[in-house]
Amino acid sequence: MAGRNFHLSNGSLFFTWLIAGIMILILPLTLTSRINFLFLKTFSPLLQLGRQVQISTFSSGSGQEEVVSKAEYDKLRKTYNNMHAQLMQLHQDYETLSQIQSGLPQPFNKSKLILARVANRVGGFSHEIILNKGMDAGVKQGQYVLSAGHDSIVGVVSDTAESLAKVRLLTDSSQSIEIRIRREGTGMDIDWLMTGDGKDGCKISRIPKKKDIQVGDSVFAAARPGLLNVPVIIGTIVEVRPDEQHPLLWDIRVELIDNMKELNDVAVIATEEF
Amino acid sequence: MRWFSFTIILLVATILEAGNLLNLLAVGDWHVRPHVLITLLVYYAVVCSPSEAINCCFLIGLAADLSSGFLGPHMICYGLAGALLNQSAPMLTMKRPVHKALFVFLTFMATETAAYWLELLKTHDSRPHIYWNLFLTAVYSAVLCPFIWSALSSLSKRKRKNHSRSQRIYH
Repeated sequence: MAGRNFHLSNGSLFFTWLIAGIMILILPLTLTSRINFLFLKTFSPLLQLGRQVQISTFSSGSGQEEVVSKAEYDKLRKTYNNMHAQLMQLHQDYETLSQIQSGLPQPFNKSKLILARVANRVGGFSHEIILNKGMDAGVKQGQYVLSAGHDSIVGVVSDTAESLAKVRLLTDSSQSIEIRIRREGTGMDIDWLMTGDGKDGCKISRIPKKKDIQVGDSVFAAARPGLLNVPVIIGTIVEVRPDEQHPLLWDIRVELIDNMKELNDVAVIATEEF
Repeated sequence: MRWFSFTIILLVATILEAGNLLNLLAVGDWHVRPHVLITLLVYYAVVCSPSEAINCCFLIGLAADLSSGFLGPHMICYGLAGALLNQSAPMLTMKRPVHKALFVFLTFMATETAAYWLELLKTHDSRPHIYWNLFLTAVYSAVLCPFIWSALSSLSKRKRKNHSRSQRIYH
């Protein structure tokens, strides 16, 4: 009966909600992100709807024929058989190399790769993805993420839950990463910081013009103790122009090796000695 | 107010907002997508009684927080904006689609800008071009809002027939 008579005025109701909102806002991110992860985990199958369509839209050209002639089919079949034989050979080589490598002090020996799938993309204006592996699999905040397709760095783990992890992509405008700019055939090696441009690439700002940087130079993620043992490729410089506000500085645009919209399988670099 | 149907509509909108389906409608380099929840906010703020509108708007804000990945800012901003819209509803004219679109545009700009500032207070995570991004999303959401509004109106038609109490009906 007491419950039935319980009634809040509009003002009280409004302030109750407002106080609840403020309390949620001031709660630590570690607590609130758990609720977000719970939501993502619960509705994961529904949230993924449309992803396959999206990937196929980005990856396949429209109007391409799906049916080929008999001659073309035979040719493709032969190529497939050859490639399959090559794959089996490479597989054997890989097994042998793995055995050899395990005994060598190679830089990557202290790292293990955790394969994961992109479960979803975070909504809003951020460039973030959700992986289907989390703390249970050894994923930790700050670890680098490689694309399975091109073995290039695509982002950094920004948050983790038991079975999910959030990765901030390099294209996110709030994501900075230490890089090295190198040119093939020369000893050039420049340390700098790179940030996402919020679109589909990255930018390197405030680099002095006296540095000899050209279009085509390669950009690597710099090695960081405990996170990345050796530099790994990120992309290529596609535009070098003077900064509009500071003419003595370069404003550089970097094209990433991977198209972030097509990411599907990735690997998290987990270093044992953290 | 039929809370069950509201819950279903809100859930569908949240999943759309947080999921990949709306990415199919995304345009441009900035990946601008329409914002469904903002139309829900304006619709329920205008149509419902004050107490219902307060509950609805804060819940829609919470849903927006869940879909954006950061809890708190939208709940506060949507609640405030919804309450304000509800109180001003008798003075507002929203019969033509262009009026609805205008209100959705203005509400989106106000709430999302305030929510971004609140988020900034906590995370210090500023984003360049955010205002352009917000503006384009507001325009896109405003363009699509009359269609979503019509869908919401037709869904709650039966309810309106049964309850003639609500005088503020815009469709």
